[in-house]
This record gives sequence, C-alpha cells and structure tokens, in this order.
Amino acid sequence: MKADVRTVLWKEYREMFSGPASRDNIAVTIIMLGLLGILMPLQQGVGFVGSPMTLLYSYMIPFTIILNLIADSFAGERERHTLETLLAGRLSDRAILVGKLLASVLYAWAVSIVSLLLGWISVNVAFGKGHLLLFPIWMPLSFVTLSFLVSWLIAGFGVLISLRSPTVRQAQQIVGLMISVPMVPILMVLMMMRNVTFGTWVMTVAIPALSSMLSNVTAFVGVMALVLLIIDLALVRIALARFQRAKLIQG
Amino acid sequence: MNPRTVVQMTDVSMSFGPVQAVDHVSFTVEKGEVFGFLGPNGAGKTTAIRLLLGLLAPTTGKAEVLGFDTGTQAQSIREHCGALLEFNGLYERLTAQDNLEFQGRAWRMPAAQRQARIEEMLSNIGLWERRFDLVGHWSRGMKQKLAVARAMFHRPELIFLDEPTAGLDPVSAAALRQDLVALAEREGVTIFLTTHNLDEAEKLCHRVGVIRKGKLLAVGTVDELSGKNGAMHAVIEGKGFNEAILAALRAFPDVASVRRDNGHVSIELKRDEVASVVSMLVGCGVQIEGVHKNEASLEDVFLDLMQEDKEEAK
Repeated sequence: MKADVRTVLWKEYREMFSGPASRDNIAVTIIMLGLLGILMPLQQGVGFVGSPMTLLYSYMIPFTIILNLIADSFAGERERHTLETLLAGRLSDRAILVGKLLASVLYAWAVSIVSLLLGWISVNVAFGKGHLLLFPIWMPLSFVTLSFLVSWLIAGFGVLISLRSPTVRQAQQIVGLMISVPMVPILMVLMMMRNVTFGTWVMTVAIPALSSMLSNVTAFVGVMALVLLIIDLALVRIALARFQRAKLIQG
Repeated sequence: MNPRTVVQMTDVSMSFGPVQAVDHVSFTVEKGEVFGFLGPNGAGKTTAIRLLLGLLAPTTGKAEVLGFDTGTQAQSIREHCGALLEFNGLYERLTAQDNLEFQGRAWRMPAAQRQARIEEMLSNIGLWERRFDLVGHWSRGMKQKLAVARAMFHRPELIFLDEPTAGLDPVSAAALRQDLVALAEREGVTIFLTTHNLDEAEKLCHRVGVIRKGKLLAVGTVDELSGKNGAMHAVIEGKGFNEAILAALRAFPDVASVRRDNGHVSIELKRDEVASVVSMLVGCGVQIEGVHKNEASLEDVFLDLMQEDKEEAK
C-alpha cells in the first residue's frame, strides 16, 4: 500500500513540477510564499512571533493553495481521458485516493511551514534589532499540527467533489463555493458591527470571551485538532465509499 | 474452466437503464490467440472490455479472466492484464519515459528492470530517441504506439486493446498493426482486440466474434464464419439488370443475398452454384461481361450478419 501511494505521489508531483504546468505551479508557490510568508508577517510586525492570531495562517494557506490541486485530482484525469486507464491498472482504490489526497495535503502543508519560517526570518530581520525573536514553544507545534489537519480537511472535501465532477472548472467552482461558506458568518459579523448595539456587544462580550478562550491556547488547539482529526478521518471513509470504479467511469 | 482458456463469458448481460449494452453473451478466448471483437459503433465492444476488466459488474451471467471472477476478483485480473482502452490514457504533460516509468512503478518493477524495459520497449517501436519529449507534442500514431507499449510494459498474460488503430491514417494504422504483431509474438501474450476495421481483424485475429446491439451474432475463425455464412461470393458484371431480374435472383434458392453497385451485382451464394445463376441471368436477357467468384471475405460475412440480424429484428 505504501509503495503504491508513493507511486501515485510520484506521478502527481511529476505532472505538477516537471511538465508544462510546472512554470505556473512554481510561480503560484513563489507568489504565495511572498504574500503569506513575507508581506503579511511584516504587516503584523513583532506580534507575528507571539500572537495566537498567527495560527490563522495555518488555515489561510491551505485554503488558498489546495483549491486548484484537489479540483484537478479526479476531474482533471476524467477531462484528459486518463482516468479509465488509471482505474484499469493495478493500483488499489485506497492507493489512488490516498495518493491524490496526500499530494495536495503535503504540498499545502509544506508551503504553510515554509511560510511560517519565512515569516519568522522576515520579522526578525525587520524588527529584531539585534535580538532573536522566538516563537513560544506551543506556536510552531500547533501551527504544524493544525495546518496539516486543515489541509486534509479541505483536500477531503475537495476530493469528494472532484470524484464526481465532469470537468475541472466545475469542481473548482463547487470547491471554491464550499471554501467560501465558512467566510459568510465572518462577513456578516463585520457588517453587523456597523450597528452600534451589536458593535458594543462584540467589543464588550464576544472579544473578551474569545481572548479568554485563546488565553489557554494549547487547550484550544488540542480541542480543534481533535475535532479536525475526527472530521478528516470521516472524510476519508466517505471518499473511499464513494470511490466506485463503475461510477467513476460512467461519470 | 479449461486451463488453456483465458477468458470465459457465460451468458453475460449488462444494461444501462433501458439500453441493453451486452445481451446474453457467451464465448471463450484461448491462451496465445488474438481474438477480435467486431462490431459497429455502439455494439457493446467497449462495455465487454470494461466487464472483463471488472470495471463494470454484469447485470446477469458470469465472466472469468485468467481464472479470476470479474465480480469478486477484479483487482487480481487488473494485476495480470494490460489495457489500451477507448482513449490512450497517456499523461500528455509527462514524457514518454515518465509514462512508462509510472507503469513500471505501478506494477512494482525494480528500478533497474524498469529502466531496461523502457529502453527495450521504446527501441522496439522506434521511439527511444524521443523518450524525453512530452507526449502531448506527439502525433496520434506515435501516441498509440506508446500506449500499446505501455499496455505490454509489465509483461501481462492478456492485453485488451479497444480499437487501437481508430482515428489513425492508413500508413500509421499499418505501422501500428505491424508493431502490434511483432510485440505480441515477442511477448507471447493473448490479445483481446475490439475493432470495427474488418481488414484489421482479418489480418490480425486468429478468431473473431461479431457483436451487434449487445448480441453476439457469431464466433469462430474467419474461415469458419465464411463457411457458416456463405461459402461463395460472386461479382457479376453486365448490362440489362433491372429490379425484376434482381427480385428473381433473390428468389433463387442458392442465393443468400444480392447487392447492386455501379452495374455490378454482388451475390452471396449458399453453395458453389454460379453456373446456374449465370444461365438464369442469360435466360432473362442480361448481357454478362464478366464473372468473378471468390470465397466470402470477412467484410462479406460481417455485412451479411448485420443484415440478417436487422431482418430478424424486423
């Protein structure tokens, strides 16, 4: 199983980084690293190395990186007429599915970790003033754990869509919509903040409650990680159940 | 199952809603033979391959490939077979080398063996020098050659080829057929081939099965089918053919079918009775200019089977 997953990973990365699409993929990666690993940490300043808000990067980066990759996973093979030959081969359902999921997850996870490192270097260069600014120990550990689990979460939802989408574009649109849905409550809150009463409630009740929750960051991260892990495992099971060669071939 | 039997379909049916794609089909394929599945577009050829590879489950009936049940042991079947399906399935964003490398890795061939096999296969089809080209930049003929090489890469016991020369120009198709025969002989594999190219089937296949609208109309060698469906074929050239004479010809007991084409009349005879037909035509006032008789070709057999099936359906 491991060797077969490695084989699928090899093929996916070969297509991503050695073929005609490699230039685009490398350019997108560099832009993302510049934006999320240099520009945004510099805007945040010294707070980047100490604030729990930095953990938000563990969500943002996978959200932005995975969309195209995961939409392409099965819908792309279907569109380019390579899916049936892949399914007619020796590789098991599990190896194909996990290999394709991991290809997106590992890539997004790697970009997340490199962004964190770049951010740390950038903030030290810009604001260190001769001192080394260090993360509190929980920060990199929480970041690495959450970014992996969030990457898996998005890839899991994405692969469910891609499995049955006739085209990459359709898969991208649906996955994009799904990714946007969690942003709706945040936007609604921001719009409602214009209302004085609600704004006051947010400032006096919601933010202190959130701060108190974040004051025990490790517990918060632990609970989040556990919830994400459960959802991630459930998604893999659902995806495996939906991975039926006959249905994949017939679209 | 006979130990020499590689494929055995027993009363297999498969339907997609109201469409009966495969209709109570039974046949066997023996080890080492090239078996051709002939039929027009939409006859059920591709569905048959999908059933045999365990990619689809039959609605009724049972199929075995290499002794494995297609319903319960599909993974084992796919491990021992190679396939070139309706689309070549090549990764066009990868090089030829990488496409074969992926195949070798998927079948867990050791690295040194993979590399040697890539060189052997690409050299055999004359594409070794182009191994680092992206496949997307290649002509259709080159892609098909590579796809055949990929299907045979892991030395399968049986390969399925779904219309391997479809869409190729005659020169490329002939070249691919030549490569296919050479590779099959060298590798000693059993080939299950679907095609609607009768010439191709006649040249490549030891036995053929003719399928139409999911029904298997006949199975056998070309000679056997010729014997079963019209031992003699005659083309009579002349002047004075009219509808009444053609109707009289069709009513003649030894005549199986009559086709008129540019002053020629092609006749399928049930027995070698050309002389009596000619004398009947002369008696009707036809001026005979030439008579050519030969054994029925696969094309004649195929067209007759299609015609018979249509008439039965009416």
